[in-house]
Amino acid sequence: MVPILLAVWVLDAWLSDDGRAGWERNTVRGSLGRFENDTRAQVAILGSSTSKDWLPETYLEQQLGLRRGDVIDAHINGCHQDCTWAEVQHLRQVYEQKRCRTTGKDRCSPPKEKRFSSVFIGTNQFQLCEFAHSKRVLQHTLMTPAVDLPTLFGIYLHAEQPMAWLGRYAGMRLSDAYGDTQALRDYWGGRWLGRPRAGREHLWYRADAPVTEPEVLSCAYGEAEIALKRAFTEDLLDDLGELADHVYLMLLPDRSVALDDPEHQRRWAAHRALHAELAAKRPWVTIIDLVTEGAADPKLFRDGFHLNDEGMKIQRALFERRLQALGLAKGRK
Amino acid sequence: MTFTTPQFALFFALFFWVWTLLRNRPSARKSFLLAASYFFYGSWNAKFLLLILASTIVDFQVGRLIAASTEDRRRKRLLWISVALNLGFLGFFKYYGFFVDSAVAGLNALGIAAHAPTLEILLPVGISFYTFQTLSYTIDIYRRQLEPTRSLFDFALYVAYFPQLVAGPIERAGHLLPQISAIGSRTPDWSGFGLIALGCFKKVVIADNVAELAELTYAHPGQTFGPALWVGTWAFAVQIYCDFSGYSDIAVGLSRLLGIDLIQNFKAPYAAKGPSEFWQRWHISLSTWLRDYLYIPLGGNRGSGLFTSRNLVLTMLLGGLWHGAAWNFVLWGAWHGLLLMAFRPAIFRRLVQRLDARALTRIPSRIVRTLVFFQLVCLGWALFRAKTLSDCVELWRGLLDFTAWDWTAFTTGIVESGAGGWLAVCASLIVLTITTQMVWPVGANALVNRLWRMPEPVRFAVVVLLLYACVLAAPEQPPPFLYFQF
Repeated sequence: MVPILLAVWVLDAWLSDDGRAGWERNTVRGSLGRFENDTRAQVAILGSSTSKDWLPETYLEQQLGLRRGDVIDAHINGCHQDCTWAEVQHLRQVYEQKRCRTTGKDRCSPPKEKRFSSVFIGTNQFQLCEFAHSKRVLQHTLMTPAVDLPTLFGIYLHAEQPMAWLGRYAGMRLSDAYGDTQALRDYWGGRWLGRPRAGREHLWYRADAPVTEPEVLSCAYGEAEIALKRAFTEDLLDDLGELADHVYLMLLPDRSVALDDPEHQRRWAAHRALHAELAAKRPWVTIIDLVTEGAADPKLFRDGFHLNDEGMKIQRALFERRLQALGLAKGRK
Repeated sequence: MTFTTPQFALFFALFFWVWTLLRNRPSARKSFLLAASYFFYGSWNAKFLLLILASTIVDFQVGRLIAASTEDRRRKRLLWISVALNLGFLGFFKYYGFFVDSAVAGLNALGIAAHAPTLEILLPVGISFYTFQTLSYTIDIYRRQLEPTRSLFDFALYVAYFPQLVAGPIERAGHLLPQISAIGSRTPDWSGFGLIALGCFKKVVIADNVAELAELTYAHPGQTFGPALWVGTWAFAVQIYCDFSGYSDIAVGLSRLLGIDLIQNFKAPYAAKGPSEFWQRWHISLSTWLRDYLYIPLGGNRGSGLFTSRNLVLTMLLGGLWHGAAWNFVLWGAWHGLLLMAFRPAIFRRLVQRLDARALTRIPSRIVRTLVFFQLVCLGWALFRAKTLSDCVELWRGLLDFTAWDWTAFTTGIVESGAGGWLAVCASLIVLTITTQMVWPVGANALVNRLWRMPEPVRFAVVVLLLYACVLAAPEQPPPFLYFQF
């Protein structure tokens, strides 16, 4: 039995360690690596790709009047508030360890200054209202330090299905490949079987391509749907307050804001209200609303939630106006 | 919380640990099992626990009263209370919308303006299964085939026993209740792990992966090439078999670990050479239920050929309607009723006997009959899978109008699309599932029993590899079991 289990474990580790197959895992490792190797950045960009793809470090440095290298990109693809929470726990741990190593003492005194002067993090309306997606739990497994696990499991209890989150966490711990299942399938499937040709996949079953609407992700914002989101976001904002002097929480648009649907508009209002409520209790948090007056045409999105080039231009122009209003825009240095 | 999710694995691991600790405490075991069963069911929608509780209390009490009464009229009245309550719940939650919408559509077709009151009714998961189970209890007592249990606790467990609560097998009280009563002394049968692994493999590796084929080809049947529709239909035949029998295998496997023996629900159904044999192999717990509580009370085959045909079609129509409140399920039931009728004539049976009697024709005849009957079953699955009645028409036209088939577009499309490799894998899974049944027409129980006679490292390796295949082949968002909607 031992050799069989060992063989399965080796296979599991080999499959999940492949640099191309395990991209969900590698995007986390890449981001953490950038942070661990950095010593001087004052500002961090956290969150998911929608937080970052329109906001390059150089652009933000220019806007804030900072030097090259003063902004660090610590975003992770598909990183919602729960993932950023786990990332922040990890960053705090790394910062603590680095600082203690520098002092050379056995025990460190609490830090006098925070790691960052400010942190920019974006959030979308749909984030963290989906089912216990395996990617979410993979991110928790990779980044949450052991000491923070009780807090993590405590937050899971706010979910509609706590067992789903706990079960996935246990599965992820047992198998490294489990969290990358989809990526493994895509990669090995494509490699062994050949990829269907883009735009021509349908040809074996019908002559014309089926009409597909871009994906619209949305969250109902009922109490049950957002209990977990609220728990993670509250804890995240509190912990970010220990890592940075100030947190800029950017509300980001997605395709649903542009849809003429009263239900979607109700959800957007609830989304704004939730974050306004959380920010109001925390003086170190400022909301930057990039939805009101922002990209409000479905054509400005390349899918359900990522902006296209035109949409990014509109987003940046609005972002600059918001920075000016906050007195943060310092211009090019 | 479905069986193939990590949260169920966690739930069952915790449950089984406590269960083992309670080894010598039968009443504590029962209480714990009942609490776990209610927790399991409540994880879908806790409000619907009230339905199960109502059904449990009423049927328990009615069963006792029927047994205590000697007066036939009173016994019948009591039975009707149970039937009315159970079918009332089922009718309201499952069929209200269907009957009201159908009535409104019928009136509108006659030129009478009618509007349906809109009620958003959620279907309680598993209601069709546990309703039939509790009905069989009171009917068996009424028929004096069963003594009522004295323990409400045991009866509550019979109704809510979690491994088979949401999608069967539909157990009979005579089989399950005595095992529940003696649950404290029952020892685990570790071959349950084999059935669990096999069930997970069927569901996660086969059903969930070939499902995409059916999904693509059935989305717009009017625009799909005929040969591709057949591919999608075979895929659906394999999907529904692996999905449902996979669930049943896991349910039987979990029960074996608790020392309880559930009935076998599937026995290589695609090895059937005719409709009677098919229904002796497919969803056995439902087909025997329909036979015992519907077909035989209607008169069965104790009459003319026409009378028997009427009973067959009526039973299958209701069997179809049991699956879902939609006309395509009624059509599916009607199709199977017609098949049962069509295979009954004596001339057909004599021809089969003659072919089977000769060594030269026996095997080819069986192969041909099995393959032909499989296509007939697939035509039924097309109706079952369709979303609307017009889809049913489109599907059958696409499947059967061979003259309209565009073979060139289909074959060159496979090359042009670059989907050949993926199609080959799905085709292999389909062929593997069907030929395995044809070559070895036994159920999963027999398969796993044979595995369990092998040396321990072999069975351990098979279980681990089957489960690991599930980890690797699992879709990101696994679709729920198809039969949960019923």
